[in-house]
Amino acid sequence: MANVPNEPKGSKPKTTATKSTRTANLAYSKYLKKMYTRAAESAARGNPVAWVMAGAMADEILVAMDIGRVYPENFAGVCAAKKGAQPFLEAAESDGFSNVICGYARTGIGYGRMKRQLGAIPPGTPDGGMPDPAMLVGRTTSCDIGYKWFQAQKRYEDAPLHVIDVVMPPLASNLEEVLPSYIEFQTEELRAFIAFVEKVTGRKMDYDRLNKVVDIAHESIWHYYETHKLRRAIPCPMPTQDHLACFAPGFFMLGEPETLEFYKDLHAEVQQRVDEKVGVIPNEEFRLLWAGGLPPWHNLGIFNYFESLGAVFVAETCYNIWDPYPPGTRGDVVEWIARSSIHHRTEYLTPPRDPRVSAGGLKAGTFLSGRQVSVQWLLDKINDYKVDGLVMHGTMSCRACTIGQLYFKDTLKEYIDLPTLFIESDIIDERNFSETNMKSQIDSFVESLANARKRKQESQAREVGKSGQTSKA
Amino acid sequence: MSVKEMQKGLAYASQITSDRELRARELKASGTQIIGYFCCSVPLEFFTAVGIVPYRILGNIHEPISRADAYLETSMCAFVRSCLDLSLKGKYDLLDGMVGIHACDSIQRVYDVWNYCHRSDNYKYTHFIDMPHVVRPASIIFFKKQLGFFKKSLEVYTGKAISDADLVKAIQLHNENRKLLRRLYDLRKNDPPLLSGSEAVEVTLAGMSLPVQEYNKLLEEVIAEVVGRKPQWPTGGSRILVYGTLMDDTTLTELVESAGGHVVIDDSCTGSRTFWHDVQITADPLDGLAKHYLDDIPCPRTYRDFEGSHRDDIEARFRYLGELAKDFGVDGAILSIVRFCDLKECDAPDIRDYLQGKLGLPVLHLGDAYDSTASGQLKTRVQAFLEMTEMSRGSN
Ligand code: SF4
Ligand code: SF4
Repeated sequence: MANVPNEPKGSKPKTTATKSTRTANLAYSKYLKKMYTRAAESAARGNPVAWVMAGAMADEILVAMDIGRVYPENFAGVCAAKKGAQPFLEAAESDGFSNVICGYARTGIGYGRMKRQLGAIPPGTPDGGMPDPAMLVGRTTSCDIGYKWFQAQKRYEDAPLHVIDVVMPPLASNLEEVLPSYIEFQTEELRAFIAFVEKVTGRKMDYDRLNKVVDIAHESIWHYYETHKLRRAIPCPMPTQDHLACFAPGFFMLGEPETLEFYKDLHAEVQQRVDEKVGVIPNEEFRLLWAGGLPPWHNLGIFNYFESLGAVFVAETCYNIWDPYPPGTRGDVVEWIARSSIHHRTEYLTPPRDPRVSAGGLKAGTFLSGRQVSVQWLLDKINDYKVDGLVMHGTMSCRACTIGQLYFKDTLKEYIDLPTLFIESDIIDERNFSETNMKSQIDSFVESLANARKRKQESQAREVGKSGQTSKA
Repeated sequence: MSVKEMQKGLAYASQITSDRELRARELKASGTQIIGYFCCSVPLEFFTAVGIVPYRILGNIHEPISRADAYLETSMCAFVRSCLDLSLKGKYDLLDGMVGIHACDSIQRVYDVWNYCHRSDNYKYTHFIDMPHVVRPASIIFFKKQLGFFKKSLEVYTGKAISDADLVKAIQLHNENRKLLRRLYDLRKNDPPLLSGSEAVEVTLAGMSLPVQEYNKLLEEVIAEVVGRKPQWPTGGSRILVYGTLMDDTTLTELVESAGGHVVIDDSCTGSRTFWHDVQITADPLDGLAKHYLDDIPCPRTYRDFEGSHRDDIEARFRYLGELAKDFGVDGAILSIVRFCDLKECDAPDIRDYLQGKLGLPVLHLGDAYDSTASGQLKTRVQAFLEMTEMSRGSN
């Protein structure tokens, strides 16, 4: 058996980003951190805790059945932000896991392996680690890792695994024709999951309770969705690094009353900032879209570097919150969750409206950040948020959110010409990361934004000049 | 005289493998449609039922990837990148269309990019088959519906209705093909094997650009030829199982052979996975097809429910590998996994433990960069492994 790697060095400095909103600053300290302590307390009381993949559509069901939850993807992100992921990566790799599979997965697998070897949570694990699971809940949407990871995790956890097939109609399909089959199958999948939890825990689902949890979840999503729309304001009231903190209660604590309280507060705060014209930075020069890939959790401070050069991230394509599915249509609550999931996964397939998009018959789209996205959806985002440039982050270990970036850049160019920066590193693994290189790339990119703006202004001036001459003539 | 009549048996298989378009070009010239597809999860019976020749998209490890870099990130499955690269260099110009499938992340995601890159080819037909990842009663029903959409799209395209009888006939032809391939593989059970690993690769690849009827005939010729020839190798070479992504090239089999061993069986998506089980003929043929393509192919992309310990789970998932190892008298296993294939990399430690721990077989886990420039290093590792296999055989 391989040696147990060194203890995580939890005491190393954090590399998190400075956030703009008060609420975002509380996302972790007041809410998310609780996820781990609560789960640990719950497990200590003998209450089952599930390890869940985000996007499994399992949240409301688990809350309604009082199952404690932790999300190993979030745990991995926290480990990376606190510089405590490296030993886990090494522990996974020394058991034969390739160093290019998802950094989240390697962190979780390595953590499981070290926990098994030590017979206890490895000392120094960020946030006290994750309690032993009573069940593992995987999912198939977004990426293959969403279920293969937990299948591999079973090497170290004696807990049953259930994989929820979360389906998504392909861009190329005739939605009207195929949708009923998706809704029917998704509903069956959720029912199978409820049956699994009932069997493992001996509890029965209380459907009235589930309805109430779904109400809370729905209202939380609504507040967050509306908050995002407010980011269209100039100056932008809330940047991407705030989103990267604020999405977390919605992804990892959905259905809980505190999560609703959190999004209500955020919504009110961002609204107030818009009313008072408070921007992320005093002089907002450029508005950017984080247009592909997950963030480098190990060095989120990089977002602040953009800001120091006058560029603010006003929107992003990752961890998107979805257009809430109207509750008025709720009949059978399980089917409603299924419909809402399909709704969430088809809204990105926005049909072509831009005349140039439809004229060419091009309904091109691909996967960005794990979701199939049409060109039109991205163009809408660029227009609505008045975006000046795009930044894409290619990572070695997350194929799901990396593949398609080059393609999108190419396709978009046919409709809109925006400076685009590709940066490369990883979500978790910082072994090949160079902050200096990344900063110099950012410097040149911001220069190209300035040049593009200058060119645009000059050509506008020429147009005005021309039309002035014409009207004189 | 058509190419088909020029050569026979192994020679013809080898010729087709080195020029995959050889026969397809002729067929196309006489009006047959040629449609490209990725992955062994695409049900070929539908093409056969409407007289279309399915043409499997493969890569080439000897061709450095250059043009695909503009469209596919380097962290994507190296095999899929190679496929797109070849197509950008004109290797798939003969295609009339393309069928994609939700097999793994890479195969799923390349579909739109492929069609985008080939927009000037004006494909007459494209379709994407969605495929669930789990095997449950509801997922088989769902998959059957998706196959129904696929069938309908082909009917609209060809203007021909596909009857149940057409499908049954196609299933019978493909089952015959599967039976012949299994019979061919049986010839590798001898010591020395009657058919080498490299020959087996060539014969399996040859079928991926031919109508099934022609391929069946070719297989009959190959079997007769192989059974009738004298033993080609000395007895006693190490017998290797290759678990891997795909075997679309003979580099690895040749390395094993040059070190005195034989690849006697594979579990790969260009090899045994495609033909180890027949499609059951059911009252509604779509039922048998849905069940087969979702449940019978042991690809790690498919998840099956399991209750019990991890040890039991490993046993249930990989028992078939143990059976192959026993039936083919295997002495060691090579896991040859294309770089960036998450599916197989996630399974690799379990497979290693099962083969090593449960079956006592030496295991070599090779990361396959899908790039022939690394073959020097590969050669050393394979040679060392075969020596070790021989030693461990000696000590048993
Ligand atoms: S989407 Fe990427 S980061 Fe998230 S689990 Fe999948 S592979 Fe890992
Ligand atoms: S090698 Fe893996 S990632 Fe590549 S096509 Fe095959 S299954 Fe998919």
